[in-house]
Amino acid sequence: MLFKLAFNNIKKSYKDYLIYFLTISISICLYYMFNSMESQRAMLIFYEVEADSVDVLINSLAYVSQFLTFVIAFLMVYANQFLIKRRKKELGLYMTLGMNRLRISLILFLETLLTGIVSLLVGLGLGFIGSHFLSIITAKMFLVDLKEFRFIFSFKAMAKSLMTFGIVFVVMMILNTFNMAKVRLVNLLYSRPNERQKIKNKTLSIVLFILSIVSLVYAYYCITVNGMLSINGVFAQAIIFGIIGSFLFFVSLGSIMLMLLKKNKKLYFFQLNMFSIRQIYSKVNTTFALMAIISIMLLIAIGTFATGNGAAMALNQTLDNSLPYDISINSYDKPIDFKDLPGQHIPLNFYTSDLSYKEFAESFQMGMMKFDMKDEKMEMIPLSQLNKGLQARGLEPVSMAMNEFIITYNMTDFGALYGNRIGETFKLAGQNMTLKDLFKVDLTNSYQPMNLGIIVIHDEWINKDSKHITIMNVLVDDAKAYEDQLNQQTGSWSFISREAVISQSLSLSVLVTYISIYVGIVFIMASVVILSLQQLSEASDNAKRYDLLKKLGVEEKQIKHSILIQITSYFILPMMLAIIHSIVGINVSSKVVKIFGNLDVLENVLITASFVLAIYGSYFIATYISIKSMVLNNY
Amino acid sequence: MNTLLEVIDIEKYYGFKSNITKAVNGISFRVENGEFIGIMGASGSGKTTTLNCISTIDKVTSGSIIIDGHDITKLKSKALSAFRRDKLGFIFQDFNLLDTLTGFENIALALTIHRKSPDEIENKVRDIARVLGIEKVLGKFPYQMSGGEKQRVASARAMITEPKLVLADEPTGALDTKSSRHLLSCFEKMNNSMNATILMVTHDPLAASYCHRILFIKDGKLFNELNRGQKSQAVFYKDIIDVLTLLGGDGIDVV
Repeated sequence: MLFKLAFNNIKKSYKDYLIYFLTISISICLYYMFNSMESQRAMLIFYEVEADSVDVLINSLAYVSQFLTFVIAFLMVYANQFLIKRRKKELGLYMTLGMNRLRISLILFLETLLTGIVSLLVGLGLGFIGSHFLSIITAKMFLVDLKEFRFIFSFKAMAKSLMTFGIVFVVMMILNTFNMAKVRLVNLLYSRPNERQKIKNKTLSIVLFILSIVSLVYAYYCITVNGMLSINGVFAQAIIFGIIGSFLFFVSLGSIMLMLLKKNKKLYFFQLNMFSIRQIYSKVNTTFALMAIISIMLLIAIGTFATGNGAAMALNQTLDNSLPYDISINSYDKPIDFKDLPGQHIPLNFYTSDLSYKEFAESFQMGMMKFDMKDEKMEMIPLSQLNKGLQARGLEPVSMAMNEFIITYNMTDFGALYGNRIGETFKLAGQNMTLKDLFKVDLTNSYQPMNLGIIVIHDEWINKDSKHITIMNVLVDDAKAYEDQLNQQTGSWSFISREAVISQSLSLSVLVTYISIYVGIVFIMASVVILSLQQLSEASDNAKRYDLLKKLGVEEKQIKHSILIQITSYFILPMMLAIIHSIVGINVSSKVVKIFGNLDVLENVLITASFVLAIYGSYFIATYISIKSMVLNNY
Repeated sequence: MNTLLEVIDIEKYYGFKSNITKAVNGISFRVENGEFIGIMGASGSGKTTTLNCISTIDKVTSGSIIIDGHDITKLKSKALSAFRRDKLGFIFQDFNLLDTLTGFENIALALTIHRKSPDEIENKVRDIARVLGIEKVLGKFPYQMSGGEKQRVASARAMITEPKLVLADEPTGALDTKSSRHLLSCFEKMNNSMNATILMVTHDPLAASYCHRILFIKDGKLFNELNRGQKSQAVFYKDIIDVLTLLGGDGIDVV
């Protein structure tokens, strides 16, 4: 009998709380997907270096998903408590009918168990399908081929999901039982929602609002000045004032909004506007703490996603241009006999010039890093070697007159430093030489663009004694074999191979992308589910209000309009603050990203916005549709 | 006087073929303009169903209801909303004020859905508040008001649009005697000064004794009709009690 009751309860509430069930399922699905990557990799062909990178990826994802599980667990427990609270009357009725607490707890237990089983099954099913898409995407991102496509079910990931979410469900059950044990019947039956309209002091509201703006501006100032990288007192101040400001903002927002809107009587007294505005006002005033928390959670989501995505984009972009050769050998103990080795060898000698960076700038700021260049002499390379390298790569060689020189660089920001000095004459190699042109080029392989400016002059002017390093650039078909051969010949040597860099860099960018998407989805989902549950659970209370409006002769169209306005504002208010936070946050964090490479801010913003909008929007639509049907159908 | 409301042989059945409950079983009556009329009956007698049908909230199974020349049983749902908005006023037993709105706003709501101008709204609300003695609660929220105040605010909301017909469903049901009397004298005042036609369903003889005329319903049929005429309220009250005794059963326990 109890089982039947529990089953029917779920069936009844399933319709109302579909969004909640779906969210749990999606969470389980995500959890399974990211935990099953280990099994999925069997499908992919990796080089050895890549395989190592994938290990890092898998391990890091495991840690992140542990952290996110806490967020999801919190969300589930919160939502469950919230739903139980809304059902007090029903539970009170069971008690007046003589059912004892234990049996009611048992009903709740069975309900949780059933929802748990259903959502686990759905979640694992979705996860199973999703993990294969993830493999395809991973393969694409690592630029490797799928060995052969086959379906892999990861029992390890399943066991992990079962255990993790099993624990969450058990916690929910314990809390439910605990709640039932301490609850009193009178409270269950007569739980008037204590949403009393507090008449707030106008002056106080204005003061609080101003305070919130002040502390937010101060927090923005702190974080902009301090940046993201140094965690210190200023950083802590930014966080604390940001949180305080957000709370105060929502504490006072309702009154300020009402005050302003009431001023415009034409608007306020137009059709249902007064009703809609009052509804929103009461909602904001009773849930200000929640709204503040949600806006902060959204900030985390948007910030992580935008920064992660930006970093991944920057990393990938950097790769394209900083690896001109298959291998660049930087140093070696013993002389190597390159004649025995396959491929084409293009040595590049670096000499110290007598021109110092000081001629152009004393220091240079790039991203968060400041380069002090006071005493540094610029490096130079001979024209013949540069041209040999360019020819080997199929590029146009460079030519210039004897008394001219060129500056090469590959860090975009440095172009401006030398650009306005073209045509000027400098004292170089004991001569008066004219700066003919700038040349943005990659001279050797590097993990990221590092060339701050290297001079190219005719070989004749170079003092051979000032040479300080030779880098051997190699173009070869089978880089792997070449490395093996070199290993046999000499003991210790350091090199940068294109393959290794790409693999490492790719795995870093894949890792960053995955983590940012994972964190982004979970936090946005958590926020938006809370918002939508709040609205859904109130739908039955609101249905009475809409009923009255209908009796007063309000048309259905206007009621729908009012519902839309209310839900929209409730969804948009926390988002609004989160977006303002994010604009400041992303501005600061993009300085960090710039260390990795250039960032196309607009593209990143567009990607982030569509990502956030997709999740937020679909929850919004689902909420609106189900509330509309709940409110309008019962008439 | 001309006829405002004409109810012609209405029936309302609930349930299906073999299991039909006849909540209203052939009731007919007329209400003239400016009348203050009561409908009495025991619970389950069909008085609330009748009121719901007149108020267009429910639909009759057969028969027709003509209000101000319109047969409302033939109106479509959209036209019904407009009809309710323009011609009817509602007063409920449990007040049905919107708890998120102040007293002023609750009354003003009826006007905003009529798209009246803010100035007109302001003036009209103040005027009616003065008549009903609720000026002090205009700035308060429903939870800060007493039951009587709430019901007078609700009445103000029902009357402010100057509807053809005000329908009151047990308006004193949740009030103590003192508040009931206060409310009912407000009804009288509105009936006299604003010439509002009021149709009130009640099982409270005291409330009924304020009416001009009372219809008694039993088992879905019209049972009796009582005219106050020139009688004093006290005499009329006695008459009502007599009919209720005749009605028997449930009728008595409400006295």
